Amino acid sequence: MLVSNQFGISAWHPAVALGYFAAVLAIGFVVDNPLFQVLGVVGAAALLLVLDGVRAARLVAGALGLAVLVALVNPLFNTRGETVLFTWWGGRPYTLEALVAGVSTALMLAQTLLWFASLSLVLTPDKLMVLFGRWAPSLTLVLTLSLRLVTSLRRKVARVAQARAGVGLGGGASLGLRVREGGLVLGSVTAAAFEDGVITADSMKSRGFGLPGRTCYQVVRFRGADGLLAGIVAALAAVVLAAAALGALAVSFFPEVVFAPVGSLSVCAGICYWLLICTPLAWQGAGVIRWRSIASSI
Amino acid sequence: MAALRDVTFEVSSGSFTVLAGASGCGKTTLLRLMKSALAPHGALEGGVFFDGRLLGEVPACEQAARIGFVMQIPEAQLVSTTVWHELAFGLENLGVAPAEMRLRVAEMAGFFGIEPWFRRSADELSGGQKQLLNLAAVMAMHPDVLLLDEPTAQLDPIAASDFLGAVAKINRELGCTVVMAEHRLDEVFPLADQVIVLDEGQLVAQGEPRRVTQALWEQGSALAPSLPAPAQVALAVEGDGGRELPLTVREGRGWLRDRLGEETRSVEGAAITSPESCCGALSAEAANKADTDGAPCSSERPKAVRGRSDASSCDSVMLAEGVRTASDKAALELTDLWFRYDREEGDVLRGASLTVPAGSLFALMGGNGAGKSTLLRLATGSLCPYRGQVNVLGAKVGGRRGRAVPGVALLPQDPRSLFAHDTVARELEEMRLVWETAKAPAAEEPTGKASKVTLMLGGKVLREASEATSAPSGGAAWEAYRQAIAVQCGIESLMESHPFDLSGGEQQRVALAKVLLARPRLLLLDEPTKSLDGARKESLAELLRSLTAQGITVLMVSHDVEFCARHADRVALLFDGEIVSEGASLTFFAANSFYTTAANRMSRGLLPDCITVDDVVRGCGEGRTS
Repeated sequence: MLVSNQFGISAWHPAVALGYFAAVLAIGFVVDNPLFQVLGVVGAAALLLVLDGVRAARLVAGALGLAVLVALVNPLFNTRGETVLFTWWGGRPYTLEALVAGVSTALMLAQTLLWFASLSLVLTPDKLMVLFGRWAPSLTLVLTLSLRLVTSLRRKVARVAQARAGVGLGGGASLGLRVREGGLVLGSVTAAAFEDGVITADSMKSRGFGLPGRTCYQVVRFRGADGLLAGIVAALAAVVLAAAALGALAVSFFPEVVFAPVGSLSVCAGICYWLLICTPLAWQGAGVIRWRSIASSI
Repeated sequence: MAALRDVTFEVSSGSFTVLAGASGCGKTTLLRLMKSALAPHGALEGGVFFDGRLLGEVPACEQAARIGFVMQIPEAQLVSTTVWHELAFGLENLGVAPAEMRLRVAEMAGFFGIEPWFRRSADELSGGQKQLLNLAAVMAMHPDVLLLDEPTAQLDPIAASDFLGAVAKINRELGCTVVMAEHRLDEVFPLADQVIVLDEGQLVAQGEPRRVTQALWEQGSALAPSLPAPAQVALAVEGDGGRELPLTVREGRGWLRDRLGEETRSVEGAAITSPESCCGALSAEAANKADTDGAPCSSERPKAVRGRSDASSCDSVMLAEGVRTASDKAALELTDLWFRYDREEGDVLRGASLTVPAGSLFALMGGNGAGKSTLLRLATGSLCPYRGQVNVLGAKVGGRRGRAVPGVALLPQDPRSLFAHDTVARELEEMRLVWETAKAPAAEEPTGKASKVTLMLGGKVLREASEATSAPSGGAAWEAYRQAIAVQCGIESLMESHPFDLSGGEQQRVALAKVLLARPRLLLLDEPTKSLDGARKESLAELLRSLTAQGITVLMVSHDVEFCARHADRVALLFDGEIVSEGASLTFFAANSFYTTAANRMSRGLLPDCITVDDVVRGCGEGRTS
């Protein structure tokens, strides 16, 4: 396990982590100011790299490549804007404003992609169960059972195909034979799954499933630090979203790119956004440093 | 017909009760009747009383909490994806408050040693861990009564012992009442306070384990071969036995020492005063060995011992030669195999070499993850080694993604994975194409033996089917062959059943019939005795014997020491991807001190080279006569 998974956002209470991702995603959607968006992309990429190491580098590169493509392609379809950079295809204008609007869309896209990649690493299925188990226990259980079913089916298909190959069955060359063989394997696996399903149902019934007043086990505790974090995240996000709502971060792209005047509110929002983005990274860094000092004394 | 008839018994609080009986005798029905949520549908006369009340009057939530139930298949009983949620599942259903739930889950994880994998995904666990988790999940609900329905049937012997150890600990340390159906009688009899034996739905013996053991022996019950080996020896030698019946290896050694001591008491004084024999354990052992032979004089002892061991090694040579003369070539030759599943993973096999003589019943033993099943798959050609050579039936197996080698068939561990149709007849019919393609090489063989199918069961020729390979009536030949195999496997009466509705033993026989229809000359079996009871194991052994008599080579991977000791011609031990020991079954097990039969462990150092119960009984007899 990477060291990062013990200290950073992965160690937060799932509710706080979910809140954090909700906040940064909301800001990513609402704020279309490219300066803020660059901050967002940098933050999202940094978090993903910290969480997943070099493996994430390809995803980050891919997201940035996609962003560049989207930005460059946008002016081909959108010809609004006053500053014509050049014309093409018989006088079709390629404008600066459309390019900037494209960059904004592209940054939003890249940011969303990267935040979601981190989210899927942090909020694993068992954490989702912690989150939603309390509110919708039956629904969560159905989800859990289906998750189990999918993994076990995959394993069983391989096992049946292997068993059949072991007695010389299923080596058909033609498409028809292969389709038939696939059907037989699936049929066998389904029959076994039904059989096992009866046992699972018995096992659930035997342990009192369906009795009234079901509760939910919380494997993660909500600690003081989680409360503090929740407060910090909420406050920082609130400032940025309020500034956005008041128009301090507004940009209009057409006919000319016009940024809202820089004022104390927008500066304040910028600082808060930067802090918000740095929070999980800082938490992680502090954790690692603290761990090193603890580890050195062990 | 009634599944249970006139069964009356009582289980006192805090006791350990074992339910014994052949497969299909009504154990599961009886256990399920003890919990309303699982009770089978049907007509019931009489009643089950729990804590002085009729079970039907005990509310569902009380039953869920106070009566725990663990079933046979570990995987299918799991509800959740994670270990911690599995432990909490029952408590959630009962509506236990989170704080208390946390404590109870922690207690159970600690009690069963689950903490190291508490946050793991349930899919990553081994079969033994899964079953232990099922047990812990039930125990977290604090039941007063624990019902277990053959919980170790799907586990290997080591995992099974661990599991039974955990059950014994629950009974002993938590005072939980245990009622367990089980066919590893040798392991559970020493734990039990009470044994109840069912036969065809009727109670045939009941009481304290030693009394029941004796009763079963005297009745000549089908369960007799599954009884603890020390008890079998004592009963065979002494009949009723004036002494207390030994149930464990430790008691068995004590019994044997007493027995041998009695006969040689007259010479014991002399042995102790002789100078060579009073200096340490080694000489004490020599003295014991000598006592066995009843040699009164110390100077003659070494000779006597040597004489015996000479005789036994002579036996094993004869055995090996017998095998060699049966056929001069090897059915399977593996030379220096190296294999890994993935470039990034470690080696599963590291230079494994093995030669399986044609026509032999060869057992490959070894722990979990030693690479046994991998080795079988290499022999079928479905996997390829990255170094080394596989020779099957005299031909080299090659090619990168190798296809199944003709003449080789593998019976998988779970027979259900071979079933894909809705009747047994159709399962067999599916093999017709494979049968026809397998026919060609057999016809080319120079010997006339291969063109005739001789079916034998227990040494008797049941039927000879002329194959008429060149005759136009291929359909008739197929029908005859199929019919003969069905008879041989004892499944003629099951033809119209759905394979999934059959019992475990029946499923295995159907799967074996299907495998045999591929006309293998090398038959590979993966853990064939896993979920079979004693009687079913005997009939499997008989079937395998009749196959080797027909010249089919059988290579089986197994954990079952007792089965391999009794029936295999040769045995090899795979450890850490290598064959570390190989030999004729007698010499192999005599050389091992832990990985060997209970009879051998019981007689080690007291009687030389005893592998099976019969050997020990014979040894005792010789001790008496000399």
